[in-house]
Amino acid sequence: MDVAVRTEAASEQEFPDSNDRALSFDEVYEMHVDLVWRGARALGVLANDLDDVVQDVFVVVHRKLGAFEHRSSIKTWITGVLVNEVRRYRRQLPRTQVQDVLAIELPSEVDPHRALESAFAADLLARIVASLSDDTREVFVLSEIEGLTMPAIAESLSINLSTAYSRLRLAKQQVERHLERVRCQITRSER
Amino acid sequence: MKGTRLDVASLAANARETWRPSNADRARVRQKLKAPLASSRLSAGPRVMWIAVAAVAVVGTAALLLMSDAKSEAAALQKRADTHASVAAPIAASAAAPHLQPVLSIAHAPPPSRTRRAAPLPPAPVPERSELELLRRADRALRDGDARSARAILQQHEEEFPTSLFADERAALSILAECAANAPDSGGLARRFIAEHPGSWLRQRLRSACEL
Repeated sequence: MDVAVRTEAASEQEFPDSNDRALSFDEVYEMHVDLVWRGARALGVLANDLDDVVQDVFVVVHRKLGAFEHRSSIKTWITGVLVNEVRRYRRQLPRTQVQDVLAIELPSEVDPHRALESAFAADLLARIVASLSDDTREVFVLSEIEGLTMPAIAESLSINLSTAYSRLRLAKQQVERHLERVRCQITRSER
Repeated sequence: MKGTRLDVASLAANARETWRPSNADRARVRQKLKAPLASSRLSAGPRVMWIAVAAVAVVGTAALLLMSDAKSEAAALQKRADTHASVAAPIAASAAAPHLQPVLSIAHAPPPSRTRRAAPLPPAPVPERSELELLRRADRALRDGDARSARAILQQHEEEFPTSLFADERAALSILAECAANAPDSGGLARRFIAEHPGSWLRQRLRSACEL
C-alpha cells in the first residue's frame, strides 16, 4: 500500500502494526492499556489521577496514530507518549503533593512476615522508585518493571543509549542502597 | 500469601502483577475515552467552521460579560452568603446531634468526577489524595491518642478507596481506633481480625491496644 494512502486510511482509526496488519484503536487500547496504566502508576501518578492520565495518553495516541510512521514499534511510541503525559501531569502537581509522592518513608518497624507480602512489597518499591530523580526513575521503571530493551528506552525518552545505560546503573545503585536498609531493619526485627 | 524476595527482580515482578489494571479499570477508562475521542474526531473537521464558531463565541461572551457586569457584584455577594450557609449547616447539625455523626463533624464532599483533568491546579491547599498518606495520617492520629480523627480519616479512606490494596491495614487501624475509644465489642473485633489475618503486621499492636 502506498504510504500516503495508508496514512489517510489510518486517520479513520486504523493503522498497521509492525506486521502491516491494520489494527483498530480498540485493539491498540487492549494491547497496551496495561503498560500505560502500570507505567503511569510506577512513574508517580497518584491513584486518584490514574484514570485521567491513562485517558490523556490514549487521546494523544488516537489523535496521532494516523501520523505514526513505524520508525519505532508501537509499544515504544506509546511509551514515549506515556512519559510525556506523566511529565506534564507532574509539572501540574502542587509542590506539596510532589513532595508527598517523593517522600520515602520506610516503616519504622518492619515485621519480617509482613515484608514478604505482596502489597507491602509493592508499596516498598513504589516508595523507593518515588525517591529516585525523574531521569533515573523513568529508565528504571521502563527497564525493570516494563521490561523494555535499552534501545527502546533510549528512543522513548529521546536520549542516547549510553545515557540510558548510565541512568539505569545509577538507579539500580540507589534502589539497592534502599533495599539494603530495609534488609537491615528486617534482620534487626528478627533478633 | 505469595512471598516476595527483597531484590529488584522479585519486587519488579511483584509490582507488575500488583499494579496491573483490573478488568473494571480497563472498561472504565475505555468508557471515559468515548467523549474525548468523539470530540477529537470532530476537531478534524474544516478549520473554517471552527474559526467561525470561535468568533461567534468570543463576540457572544463579550456581550454577555457587558450585560452581566452590573449584576456580578450582587451575584458574588449572594454566592458568598450561600457558601457560609452550606458550611455552617453541617457544623450546626453535627453540634445538635453529635451521636448521629460520630466520625465526621464536617461533611467532606468527594471530588467531582471528571472526564478530563483541569489544566492549571489552584495554588490553594488541595485535599489529601494519596491513599497511603491517609493511612499514615490515621496511624499518626492513633499514636497521638486521637481516635476520633483516626476514625474520620479511615472513613474518608474507605469512601475514596473502597477497593484499596490496603483494606486489611485500614480494617486493623479502624479496630485500633475502636479500642482506643473503648467502643463496645472492640476486643471481639480485634480477636476476629487476628484470627482471620494471622500474618498481619498490626497484630501485636491490636493485642496491646485492645488488651487481648
